[in-house]
Amino acid sequence: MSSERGCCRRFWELLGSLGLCCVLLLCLFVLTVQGTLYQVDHGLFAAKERFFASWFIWVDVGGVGLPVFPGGITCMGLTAINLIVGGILRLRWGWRVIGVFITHLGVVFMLVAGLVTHYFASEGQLKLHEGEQADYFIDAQRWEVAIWDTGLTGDGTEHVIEQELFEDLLGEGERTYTSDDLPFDLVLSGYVPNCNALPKGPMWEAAGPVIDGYGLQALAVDTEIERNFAGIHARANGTGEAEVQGLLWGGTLLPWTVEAGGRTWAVKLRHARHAMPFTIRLDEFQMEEYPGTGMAKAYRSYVTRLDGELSERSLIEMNEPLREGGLVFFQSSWGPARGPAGPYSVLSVVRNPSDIWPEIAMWVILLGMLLAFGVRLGRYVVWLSRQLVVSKGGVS
Amino acid sequence: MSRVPRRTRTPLLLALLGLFLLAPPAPAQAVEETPAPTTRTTPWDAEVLELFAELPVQHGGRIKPLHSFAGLKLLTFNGKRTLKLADGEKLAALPWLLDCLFYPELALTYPCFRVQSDAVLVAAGLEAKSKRAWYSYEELEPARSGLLTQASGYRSIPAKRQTSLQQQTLKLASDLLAFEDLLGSFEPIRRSYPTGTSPALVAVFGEGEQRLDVLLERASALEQVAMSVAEDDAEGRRALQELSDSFRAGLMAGQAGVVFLPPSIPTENNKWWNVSEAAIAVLEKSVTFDAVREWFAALQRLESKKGDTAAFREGLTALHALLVEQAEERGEYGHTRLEVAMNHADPFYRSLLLYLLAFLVAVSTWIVPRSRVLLAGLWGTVGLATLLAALGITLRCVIRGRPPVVSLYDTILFITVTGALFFMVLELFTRLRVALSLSTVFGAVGLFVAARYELKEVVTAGDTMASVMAVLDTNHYLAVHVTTITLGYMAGLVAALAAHVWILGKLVGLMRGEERFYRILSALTYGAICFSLLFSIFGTIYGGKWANDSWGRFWGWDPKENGALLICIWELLILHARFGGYIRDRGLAVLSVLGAIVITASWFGVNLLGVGLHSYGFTSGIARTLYIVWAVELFVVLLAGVDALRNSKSNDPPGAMPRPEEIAGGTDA
Repeated sequence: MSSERGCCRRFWELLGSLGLCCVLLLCLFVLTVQGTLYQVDHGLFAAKERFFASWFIWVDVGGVGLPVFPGGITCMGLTAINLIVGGILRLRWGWRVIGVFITHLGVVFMLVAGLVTHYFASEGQLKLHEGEQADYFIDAQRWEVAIWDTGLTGDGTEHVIEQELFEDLLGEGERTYTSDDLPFDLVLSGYVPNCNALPKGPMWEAAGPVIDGYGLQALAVDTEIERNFAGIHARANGTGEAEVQGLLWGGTLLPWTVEAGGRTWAVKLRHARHAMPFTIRLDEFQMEEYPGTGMAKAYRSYVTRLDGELSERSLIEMNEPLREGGLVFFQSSWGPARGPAGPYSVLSVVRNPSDIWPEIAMWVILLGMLLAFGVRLGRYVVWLSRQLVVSKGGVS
Repeated sequence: MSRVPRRTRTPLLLALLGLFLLAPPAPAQAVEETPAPTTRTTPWDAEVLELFAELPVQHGGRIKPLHSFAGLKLLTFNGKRTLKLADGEKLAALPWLLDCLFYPELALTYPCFRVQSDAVLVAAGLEAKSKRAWYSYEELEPARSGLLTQASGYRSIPAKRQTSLQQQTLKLASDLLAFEDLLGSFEPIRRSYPTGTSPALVAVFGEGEQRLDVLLERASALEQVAMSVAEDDAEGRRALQELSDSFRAGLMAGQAGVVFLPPSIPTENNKWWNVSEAAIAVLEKSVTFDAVREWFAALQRLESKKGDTAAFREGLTALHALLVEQAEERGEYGHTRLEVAMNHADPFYRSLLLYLLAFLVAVSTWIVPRSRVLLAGLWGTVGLATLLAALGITLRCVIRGRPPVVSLYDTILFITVTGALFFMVLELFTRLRVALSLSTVFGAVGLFVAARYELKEVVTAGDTMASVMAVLDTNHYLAVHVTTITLGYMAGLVAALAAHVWILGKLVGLMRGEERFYRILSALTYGAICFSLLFSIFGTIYGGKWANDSWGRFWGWDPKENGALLICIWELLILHARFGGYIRDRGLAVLSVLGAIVITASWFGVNLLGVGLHSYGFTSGIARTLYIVWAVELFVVLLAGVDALRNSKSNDPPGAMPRPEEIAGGTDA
């Protein structure tokens, strides 16, 4: 029993030890270096997934995946635990250590903010020409399959299958999606993360079946994840006909249509949409350039938030986002004028419950560090002065 | 100037010629022809140079003095702000530019193009002088076509994948075209336009050739002329065509010339005009000829009187007064005179010389340690050098209306000055002369690196005070985030330099037996690491706040963000390892030296990767220098290892810097 207690005690001390802290810092250092270099060839998204948003770094050894290094979640989670346990074990109340305590508290809070962002935040974009409005934003990194009745107009109900439910159908295998509101079952198979939909030719192999002479030509996944166009094979069962199948491709504007239950249904693979609790209308987009350079000096969007009877005008520009209803709108980019529609404005939209937590953590950490280093600087100066007294005016 | 081939830039001028030929009639007027010398026989008059120096020019999105413009252009082509001529004579940037504008035939012979590798010329079919040499336009002209063809092919290759040869070819091609633009600036003024012997044209202009201002003033008369020339009047139509071709060629030659004419009307993005653009504005009826009359009259006078110093100076004085007044009316003359004064003062170069002098004085103080005069001299020279460099930074802030650090070049200057100051403050505490001596090294090396990097910044951004991207257009974040991050770099490098002295000093037996010396040196290193960590952490997190306001996410694992994080992690590791007793003085010194690698990787290294949202900081061509720096640092670490092995029995010397809690007399969490 006492041996168990001793083990627990040692484990507890290990969890809060400075040694573990140093090891974790070293791991984070290595991880950050690797994740940074990895971006050059594989892009930011892949680097984040592999190094920072993972429990372990996996390496394929002879066809077997082996965890060779702790991932970002593991390192940062253990660091938070190490900080908390270390604080409990070594904390001695007093003005001399209050700064260190506050600093570590701020770091833990920041790590928690990162965790909340990772699991609960969503982000996307809103692309609007002047006069256009939208009540949803688009996540250009995720796909969804939407099904709706083409006969219904306005706010007709859509059935949405999120990417998580079909992204694993990369090779063999299929999955059936049913709903009481749909007169048919949708069977999805052969998901391709990046592809072209082309008339099948003799020079390339189609990924999956060829339908009506068209097939999906698989392409290498682009490191800029937004540049990929996904594709998937779809089959509708229970329509009354023998076999109704089609290709869904993210690069087309037109949906695949299915006749069932006396109605026409549209099925479309599109970027995931997130609903907003209000509508945003772009009233005016302005862009200034530095004279004679073609380089943007500033760009800004005048928008109106429409919420029922409410109509509220706001300005969004670089470094000046609009925070409203749990959403934050940023002036992200813009596109050139083509045709009469004029240039369009691209707003990034983020829904993040921990939006300002890092900022709070920052001020806490700053306060803690100023206290900690202030105290230390005072003692350091006293120590140096003593050294100089000992050396009688310095070394000569 | 027919020797300089011209590029076809835009079909706009063709349309303008149509306008020109449809303009309303005006009464006839006699003309005079003024021959002008094509080469300069005497040096430029000092007063003339001073007047030209202060002329405002719009370039790279800002108004700057012609003096700065000339320096930047020559630096881009030549790699230096002065030009060495074949006869050994040195030509400053402004006289060189004036020769380009007024004596293009002469400027063609100046060896102002630095070709870094002969392979560039060999590939374009030209025999090279040597591996690296300077060439005149005249010498390069035979290879011009080949260079442009090659460059056009290379342009489609992503910058990251271009070879050194391809990059140099692209730069040389770009330099040649930019040089042609300079030469063509006053070409519309310099040219004479044939009005022929057609009775209709003679009725408007008289016989012979005409100047640009007369053509513009009479432009409206040409509609009548164009309409009155009958279909079967072959001579009249030929004369019109000849005039049209000549006019078009003149305007096209100056279309990308120096932009120095402040319009009297609102223009898109407040764009100023060059000579061709002003002429086009008259043709397009954006302005009346009366609005530009004085410009053209003054320029025409300058061109015709350039062989007569007194008359030229008189004409220039009038033009200078006119342009300055018009720029001031637009509220755009700003700090032009201050910038000229800064250019003349050249504070960074003078400061570099002072730091080098201070270094010599510092060496002397170690040879004659008890000399109070030498010590005072050291304080004086270091103080003056730092003050001068700080003044330079302040002037740049005032001229730009920006905080001290905006570009990578700024970071070098800022780190140098604050680092030297930091060492001076440390010297006040320690009085060992070591911190003061290190400030001379830090200052001299920093300003030397800045001088070297200036060329790179000018080649890539066109200026060392270039316009900033929209996302950077916020003085608040630039002042807080960028400045604090840079201070973090500075303190980390200060720690690394002190650590070098610790390691090398131990190795060579410097101050042997003076353990207090090493204890204080370790304490300096430790203090600088603490300072660096404070600023790095605050700066990094404040950068997250900026990113949250501009890109919508606090942290995105972008390479530049990761670089800042790496510094924080490394310094946290040092402090925790020291606190936990895992390292002592030697370990502190070794990790601090390795910290220099981390800092330089974050400062410059991640910018070489060419990925991420911090694209405004991307750079190239410094990888080799970085690798050398890293290799040297690793060698120093290796030396520390050798020294540790040599002294393995004694471990850290007795009296090593106590652990922080020993200093504090307590235990921290």
